[in-house]
Amino acid sequence: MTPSRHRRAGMIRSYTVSGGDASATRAGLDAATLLLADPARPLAGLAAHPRRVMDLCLPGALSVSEVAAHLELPGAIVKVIVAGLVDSGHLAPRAPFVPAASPYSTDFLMKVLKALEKL
Amino acid sequence: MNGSADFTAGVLLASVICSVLLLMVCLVLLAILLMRSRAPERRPAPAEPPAERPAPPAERPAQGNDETAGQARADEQVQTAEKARVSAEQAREAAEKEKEQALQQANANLQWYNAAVAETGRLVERLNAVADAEVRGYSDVVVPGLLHPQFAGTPLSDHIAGAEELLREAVHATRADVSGAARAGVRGMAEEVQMYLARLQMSINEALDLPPGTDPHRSLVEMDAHATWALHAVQRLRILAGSWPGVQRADCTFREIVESARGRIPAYDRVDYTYVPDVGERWVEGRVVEPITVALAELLANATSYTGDRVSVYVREVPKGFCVVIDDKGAGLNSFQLAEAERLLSRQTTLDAANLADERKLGFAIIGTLAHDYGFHVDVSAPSPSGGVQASCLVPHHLMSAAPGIAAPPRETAPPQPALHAAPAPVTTSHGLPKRERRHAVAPLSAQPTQQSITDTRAPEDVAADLGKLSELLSTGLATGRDNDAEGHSQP
Repeated sequence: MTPSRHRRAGMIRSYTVSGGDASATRAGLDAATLLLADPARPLAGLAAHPRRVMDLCLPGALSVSEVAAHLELPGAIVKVIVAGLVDSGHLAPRAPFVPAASPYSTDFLMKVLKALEKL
Repeated sequence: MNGSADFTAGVLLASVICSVLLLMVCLVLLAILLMRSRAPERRPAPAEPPAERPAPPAERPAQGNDETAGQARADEQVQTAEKARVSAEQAREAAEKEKEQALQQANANLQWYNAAVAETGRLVERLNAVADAEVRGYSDVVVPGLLHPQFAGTPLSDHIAGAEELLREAVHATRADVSGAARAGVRGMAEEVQMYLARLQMSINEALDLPPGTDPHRSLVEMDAHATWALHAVQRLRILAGSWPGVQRADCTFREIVESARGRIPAYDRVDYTYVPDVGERWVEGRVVEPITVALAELLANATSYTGDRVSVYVREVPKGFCVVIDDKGAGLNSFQLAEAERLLSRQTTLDAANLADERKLGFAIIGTLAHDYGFHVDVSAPSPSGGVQASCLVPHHLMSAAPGIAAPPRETAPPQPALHAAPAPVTTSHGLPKRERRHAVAPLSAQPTQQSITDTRAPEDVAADLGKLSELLSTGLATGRDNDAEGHSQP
């Protein structure tokens, strides 16, 4: 966090981004949802924030939380933007890996740890 | 003989009377001359002897005939002449006296004149003292009295008192005017701030009433809006009162400035910002970010308050710098409003009674002050293609900033074709996702912290590759785990 970053915080209020609507229209989106951009869709006519989301996602997949971090916006606001882009076909959400086993079982977490150590 | 003597005496008498009359006329003339000229010493000497001379030769023939009568007549003549002389003398003296009186009067007039001049000078001093006491509020000012006491009770002293009273009245009237208008302006702004803060409090109350565990995000967004608008209302008041905007920002892009300005007005959802990355991501110097944002918010507030239609905003590059253009579809400004707007925009206007009454003028006064102080230019005179007002805010090149620390953001320089779709076959996984080969192959972390370095500084394709790898490993891990589980279950 550089000081300049700190002094830029608060310039843009989140309600202007979401148009006052803080609830995403799509229930399927969460912070880990991967976003894949459709390069065939035209970017012209997009507002500033959707356009930036597209710029972020076009080179590769990013999760909603990563987009939020890059845009310096709250996750809930980014979900609203993303939901709009998904509705217009610019973005395709890909559900993140969801293990069949309970994500909180110790055995499973140990296996994940082992797999991560192999990386 | 008698007849001739009588005739001679008659002629003589007539001549004497004539000569006396002549003498008197001469004397009167002389007296007049004396009075007129300032040479009283000039005696009427040349005129007197000729008047008396004709008498003796006329008397001589009478001596022989009627001496006593002639003597009596001569005496009478002498007496008459003497009377005339005395009266002439008196007239001369009277003239002399009059002259002296006139001189005295002139002297007195001169003294009065000088006194009046001095008194007028004193009047200026007195008015100055009155101004000190009434306008500047000095408490120990003593208003001086008359310089010459002899003027007391004269019309002059009345006029002086009248002038003083007039000044006092003018001061009081002006003060009442200004304070009334200023109060009205401050009152309007205070009402605005109070309204937003009251709404903020209502939002907080609603949020507090939410059942536990409810996501408070919606309430927070609402509160944020009301707080922002209240903040902006207070900010414009302090700017009008001659202060700086009160916030120092770091360098910001035009996109941030326009979006921020948009958020400061209640009708933000009627503002369409046409975002073009080329100009939208240009950096503006931090020193002028807040002033420009406030000025744009004022322009947007004007635009949205005079039309119910949508207002469009865009940024374009011009030879002198960058222009933020705001187009509304309202009725536009008439020539008087335009002249007034240009007057307010062109010069610095401090909290002025004349400017606080009208809401729209207030906005222009704020913009004019900021533009004057920070060196950007706002113009509302260009005709709008949509019929309304086209306001443009020119940010000259010297107020622009180079990108701070980071060059173009990495997203801009990324290849147009996303790696996900164009990755070469050898480095893709079985799932078709790009596969990262070695960790050290990744570009080293950039030395400087950057805007994008929140999560990492790597290109998105690398991130995607990581994710793909992770996903794959997790799948295999899970598969083996399942196998193990199956084995484990089958073992007992």
